[in-house]
Amino acid sequence: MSRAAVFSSTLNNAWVRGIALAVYYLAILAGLIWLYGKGDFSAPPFVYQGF
Amino acid sequence: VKTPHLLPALGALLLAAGALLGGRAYALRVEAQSVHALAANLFPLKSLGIALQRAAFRQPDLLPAYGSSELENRDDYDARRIFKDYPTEFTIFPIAHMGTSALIVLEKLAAIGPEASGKKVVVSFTPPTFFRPLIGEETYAGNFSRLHAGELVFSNCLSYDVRQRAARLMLLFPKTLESEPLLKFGAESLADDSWLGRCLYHVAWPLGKLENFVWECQDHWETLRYLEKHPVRTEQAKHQSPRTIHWDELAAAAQRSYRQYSGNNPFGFKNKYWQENAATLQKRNPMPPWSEFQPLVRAIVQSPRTLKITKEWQSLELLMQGINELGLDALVLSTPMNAAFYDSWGADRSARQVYYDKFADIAGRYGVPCLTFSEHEADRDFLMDAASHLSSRGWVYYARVIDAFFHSYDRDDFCRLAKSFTAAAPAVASKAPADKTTGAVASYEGTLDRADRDRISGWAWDHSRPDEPIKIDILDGGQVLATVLANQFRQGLRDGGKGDGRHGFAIITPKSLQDSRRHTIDAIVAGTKVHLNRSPRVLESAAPK
Repeated sequence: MSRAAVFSSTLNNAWVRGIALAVYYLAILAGLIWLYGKGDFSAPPFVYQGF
Repeated sequence: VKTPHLLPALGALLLAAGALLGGRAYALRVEAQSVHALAANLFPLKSLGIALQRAAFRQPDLLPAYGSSELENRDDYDARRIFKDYPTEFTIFPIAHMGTSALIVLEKLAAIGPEASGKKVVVSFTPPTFFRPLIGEETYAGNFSRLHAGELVFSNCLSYDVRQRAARLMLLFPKTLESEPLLKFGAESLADDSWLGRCLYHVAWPLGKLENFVWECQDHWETLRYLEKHPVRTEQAKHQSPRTIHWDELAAAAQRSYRQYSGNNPFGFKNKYWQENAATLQKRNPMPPWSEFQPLVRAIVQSPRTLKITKEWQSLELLMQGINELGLDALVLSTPMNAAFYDSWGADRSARQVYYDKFADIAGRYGVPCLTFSEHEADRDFLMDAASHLSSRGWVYYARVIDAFFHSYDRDDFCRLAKSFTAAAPAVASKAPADKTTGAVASYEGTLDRADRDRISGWAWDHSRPDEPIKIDILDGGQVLATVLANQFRQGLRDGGKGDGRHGFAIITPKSLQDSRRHTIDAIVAGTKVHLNRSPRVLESAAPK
């Protein structure tokens, strides 16, 4: 059996496909967390108001 | 399977949620381990985030203190140094940045949430803030945190009324909300009193909560990153050296130290400050247009009118209400104004008193203990500049009050203690009578040394009349027991430079006090409200003979 056929038959297995999809969604969530995880906790430079 | 993506997506969501919760638990542990080491440091993440502030509130030996530049200034005798090694089993955790207003403090405290309930906190202000019609938007923005604002707008712990009034004040600074559409929408809906506004606010509420959760996770992440970049030695952070602080000695040492740097001007300001600002600090006729003090002084002189229109008082009132609703055990402090300086500009004591009275009135209305240190207005070693920042000596008094507050059991206990501290030392009567012949303003100093079932004794004198004895009223629970002339000679007083040394007083404890009831003995300069140092004190039992 060729490599492509082995890959195809493996993907046809419901368990393997489920795990691959879970990893896929997990990667998306991890990407989102990575993108939006860094917050901006700085304030604009302080401007002295005087009195 | 009809929905092949559903289960994997749910599984991925569960895993991600688990990872987030695990990460949060890890962050909380690291923050708790590091918070003592970061207690004395001031940096933006500590002030603009929540994670470290909440961690501080969880520690029984850290006392969070919110304030402005007066807490930022470093001094050899500032509270951070005095409490550095936990001498009385706690240290101060300042959260401060110049220009911090009452509204900013309210946002920060609201962000602490339910964990604030029952915890002690100190909030500090300086008077100039309360004489501006409105704090500048750039100044407000310099201390603004969307996380804190979001927690306030969508708070569970504050009443709708407080949130609504706070939102209306926040909307006076529209630029800070420009880049936060959901927060802006929530604040605008909250500020709108119509039924539609209320509906829209409640629609936005769950989204606001979600956004706050995301920002909180970001805060934990940034805190972990900060700690990675700035590793702390957690094992050395809590080096404790318990000892008794001799406050009077410390104040005297601070005074000696401060006088080395403050002799070149008539107001007791720091020499360097005077050198850099003398041109703007001295009143001239006509005043140069760039004088920054002219509007402030004008505002103080017109204080009854000014104080009605400045928004900062609304913020202070809101802060007091918020403190009550959050269940905080708070102490609110204000530094005083330098009497000699403001007198020279024509803003006399009666004008300044309006500020002290209003400050105390607002705090008192909400049962929050408050001290303005107005008794120290004429103490030329108390403030280092015209903006009411504390000198070394001023810091010792501030720290002493903070220490007493931390160790007090309840508000009455603290108020009784604080009264004895603040009216102590070279205090000047709030409305000290001027000597008719010399025009000198009375300036009293003294101590109630002893009050037991045998004797009541102490000393007192007037700086402005160093060789003349003064009269002291001895009171029991507010009733005058006796009036004595403080004219007994004490070698220690003469050696200590107290005029001719004839300023001691002593009386035999009256028989009416020889019962089993508790008596509180007070000693005040007759005809004034100036309490002697260590007065009032509870009558002690006589020493066994």
